[in-house]
Amino acid sequence: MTVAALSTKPVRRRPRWRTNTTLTLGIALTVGFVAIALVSMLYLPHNPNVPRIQDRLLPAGSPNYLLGTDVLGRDILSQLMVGARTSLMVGAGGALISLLIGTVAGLSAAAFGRWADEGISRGADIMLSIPGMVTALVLAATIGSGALTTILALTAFFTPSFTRVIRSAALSVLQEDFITAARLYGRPTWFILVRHVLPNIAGVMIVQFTLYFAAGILTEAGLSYLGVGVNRPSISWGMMLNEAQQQVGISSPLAMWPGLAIVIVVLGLNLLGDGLRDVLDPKLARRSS
Amino acid sequence: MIPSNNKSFRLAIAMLTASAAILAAVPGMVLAASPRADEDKMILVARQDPGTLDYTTSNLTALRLWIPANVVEPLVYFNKDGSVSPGVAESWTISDDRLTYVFTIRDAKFSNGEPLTVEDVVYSLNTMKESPVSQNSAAYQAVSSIEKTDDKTVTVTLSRPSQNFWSGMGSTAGLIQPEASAETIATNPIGTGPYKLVSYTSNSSFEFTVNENYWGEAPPIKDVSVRIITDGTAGLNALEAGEVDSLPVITIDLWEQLMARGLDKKFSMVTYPQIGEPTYAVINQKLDPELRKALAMTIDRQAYNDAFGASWGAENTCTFALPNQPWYSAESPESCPYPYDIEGAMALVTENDYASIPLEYASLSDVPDLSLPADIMVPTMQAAGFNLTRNAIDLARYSTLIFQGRPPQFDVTVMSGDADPTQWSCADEASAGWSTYCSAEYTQALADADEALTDEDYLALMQKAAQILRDDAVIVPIIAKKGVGLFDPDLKGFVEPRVAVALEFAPLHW
Repeated sequence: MTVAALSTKPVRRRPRWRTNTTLTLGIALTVGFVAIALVSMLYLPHNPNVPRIQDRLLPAGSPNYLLGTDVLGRDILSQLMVGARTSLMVGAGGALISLLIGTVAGLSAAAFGRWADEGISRGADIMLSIPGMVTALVLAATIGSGALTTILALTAFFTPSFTRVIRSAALSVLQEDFITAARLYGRPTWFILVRHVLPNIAGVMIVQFTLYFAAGILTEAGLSYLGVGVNRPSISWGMMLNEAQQQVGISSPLAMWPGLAIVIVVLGLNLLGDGLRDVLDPKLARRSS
Repeated sequence: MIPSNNKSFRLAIAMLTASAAILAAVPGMVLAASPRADEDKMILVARQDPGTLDYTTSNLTALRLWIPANVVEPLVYFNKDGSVSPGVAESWTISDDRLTYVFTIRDAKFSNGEPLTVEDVVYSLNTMKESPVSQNSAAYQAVSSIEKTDDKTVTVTLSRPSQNFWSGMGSTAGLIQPEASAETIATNPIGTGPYKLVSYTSNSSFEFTVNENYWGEAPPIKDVSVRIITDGTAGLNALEAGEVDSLPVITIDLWEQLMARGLDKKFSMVTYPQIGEPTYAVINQKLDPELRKALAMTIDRQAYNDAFGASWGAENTCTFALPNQPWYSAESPESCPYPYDIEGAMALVTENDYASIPLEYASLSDVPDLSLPADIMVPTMQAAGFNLTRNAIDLARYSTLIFQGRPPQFDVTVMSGDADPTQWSCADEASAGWSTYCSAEYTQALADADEALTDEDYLALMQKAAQILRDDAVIVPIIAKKGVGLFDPDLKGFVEPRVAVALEFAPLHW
């Protein structure tokens, strides 16, 4: 083989996302989680709320009950599947609403002058100074607990953080030369934000979304564990942990299954976030190439 | 690397393994004697902090367990066998018409060294008469005067005979405190009991020591510490580790665990009805009586009992009472007007179109032994065809909606609590309690029972009142839970509470 032949043959590199093990594992776990949540809407082995006292506290592997039953004879697997649906809805819902509000607020703070920046940033500071758990408890006490309340609490908790991150990323992009060129060209601010800034901070938004999605699942589990989150007939992994607490001395796996589910899903989302950051961050991309 | 050819090493391993196997196979063998035994001390565990020790304004079990009988004594004691023993009153006479009670006060001192006076007794009884706690003040409904007769006697005059008055004199309604120390009752109650309170640290502990001024025989254990451990499993762990000597009150959610861990074998387990509680459904009285009866027919008492996995500690019942109350009866065809009959309930739902009536079940989300019955009750009622939705709320919101709300916002709920039947009586509908229950017939039956001159009449009238309650299907009893306690096997002498639910320290000894 000659040197000339070597130089003319194009070098084919596998896309970076395909070589990123962290991302691949994160995608696999997250897709599995979403798939289980979706399947639970169409199929469940048993009704997870109907007690069957004669089958109470069966161990994993029992006939008809793959992961066993709880203190009232309710199927653990079915409860975990419905719990995945709740986690998906509450975690993704809270993170998505926060992302939308935080994006609008962050872009406004970055682009509409000092007063808008001061107002929005100080507002975010004030909201960040209120512990999220306290917000959730107050909301639960005033409007009642449930999935919607938990989403509201997560939104109140996450939005200031999103606002800060988006503002910071947008400020960085707004200093670029092409933005100056767009301004000189007479483009309105809203057009510049939508056409030029948003696409350039999309990577940050996606990564932040996955990380807050995971945080949302953890927070929801914590609130439900305390009895101020999701309650039956809805089912949450945190609520399952709460119920299992009474039986830890009798049947430890009751607490293990929802705990394991939380660990796996949160791990998956965090790996996904880290992997996406590696792939989408241009600086990291340049460094690796 | 293991020296497999070393004979003495292998022998040592074998002996170690054998010893471990023997220790593991013999339950309780490793349980050492309590180190407190030689020091005349004992440590007990409380699950709840009472917040206040003022028994005149609070009826929390967390308070009534420790202060009455140990620190503050009633006028008399009612024993398990039905006999009456002297307390603060050395003797007493009751007129034949049961309208005049004369109590002779004993020569005694309070734990602070001040002498017990007739004025203190008059003050204490008048305080209880005005108590905001209905269980205290209810004993005085028929009392027309409380007067000092002389320096040794107090005369109480009634406008009508009252069983509640006499039984109240042996309960919290009859506790005697010094008037001079009334202002410190919330933190340091004073009495004539065998012990005095040394300190009370909120959410931490009570410390008691013997009252050197006690009129009776000095108790064998000098110092008693009551640690407040709210986590039930942590309490069981502390007992198993020998850090404490007794958990005198173990709630139903821990019964299965204590059996699974074999603690009933390692320790002395006592069951007693006084601290027990009935668990009951409450169906809003505004609902049609036939609808209430159909709802009551969906309650599977055995399922509730089985769900706790400890049927030895709870009994199915349709009577709002505990087994130590003479009008109590266990579940039976005679005592249950609406036994579990899901097919019958479904037929009634279809026949009367109850499915078109939206119903709300209010359940407590943060109280495990009340959310568990709801987990059974709601799907069963839905399966019967009722249009029932579950509103799971935390205790703070439950309190606002149910206990304080007027009218309360619920159709069905489940509750556990005191077995006092008078809590369901009401003078007029507007004054009905949180349950909304107001029955003139039931209230009259209780009043008639209170006026009974003989025990037989009292029992018959209380049974009549209990039947009215059952037939109305507003208060629907499910199970009667016993009190369950664990004691170090060397700690002997437990006696069932004589003053309401109070656990007496004095009879206990190592």
